[in-house]
Amino acid sequence: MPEYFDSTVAVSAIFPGSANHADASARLKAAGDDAYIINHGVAEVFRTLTGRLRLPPKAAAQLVEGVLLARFKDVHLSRDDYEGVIKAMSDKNLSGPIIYDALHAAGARKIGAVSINTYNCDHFSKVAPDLKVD
Amino acid sequence: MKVLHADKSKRIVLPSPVRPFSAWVPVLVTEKEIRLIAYEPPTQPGLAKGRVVVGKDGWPVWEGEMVMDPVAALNQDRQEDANA
Repeated sequence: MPEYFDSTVAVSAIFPGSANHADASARLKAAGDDAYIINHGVAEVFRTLTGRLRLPPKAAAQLVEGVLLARFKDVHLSRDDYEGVIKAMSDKNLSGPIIYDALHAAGARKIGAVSINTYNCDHFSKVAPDLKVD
Repeated sequence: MKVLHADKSKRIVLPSPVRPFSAWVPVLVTEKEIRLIAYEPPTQPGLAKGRVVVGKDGWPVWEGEMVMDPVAALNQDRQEDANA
């Protein structure tokens, strides 16, 4: 069964000191070889590691390689997928960074996941009421 | 207020601002009075201290300073990017 993860769970798996680390790690371990994330999520994690979390870029790259690239399978979103996400945002009159959650939701649907592993549960109730959030 | 005096060559020598990229900014108060304000740029926060180690679950993790909660950081970075 494919397990879709958004960036919030992926980034939490990197920080043993974070409140969600134990939970994120348990979910990731349980998913085994069936953990998926879109490529935008990989970039998003690198952006935050080197942004607000101020990790040196080399360390951030090591972590992205060792966690995101090694443990998550890629969900490819096409231009049509992006177009669909943007149309859905417009139909729901949603704006701003919630589009990133909508892209994750599109990734989850693409692999046939029934739920999303996330800590942004309220965001997904807006963009993906069809998916369960865990 | 510290009064500055010219040297024999009629040059005013200012104490060097200590930090890099700092400078004296002249402000004309009246026709006969100029004040020099030391400008110091805002300091950039340094990199987080720590290193990458293999965690107990077998994948690399960050051991060291955690500037803020990673989920909050991610959401704030998203918001910042959207406002840029």
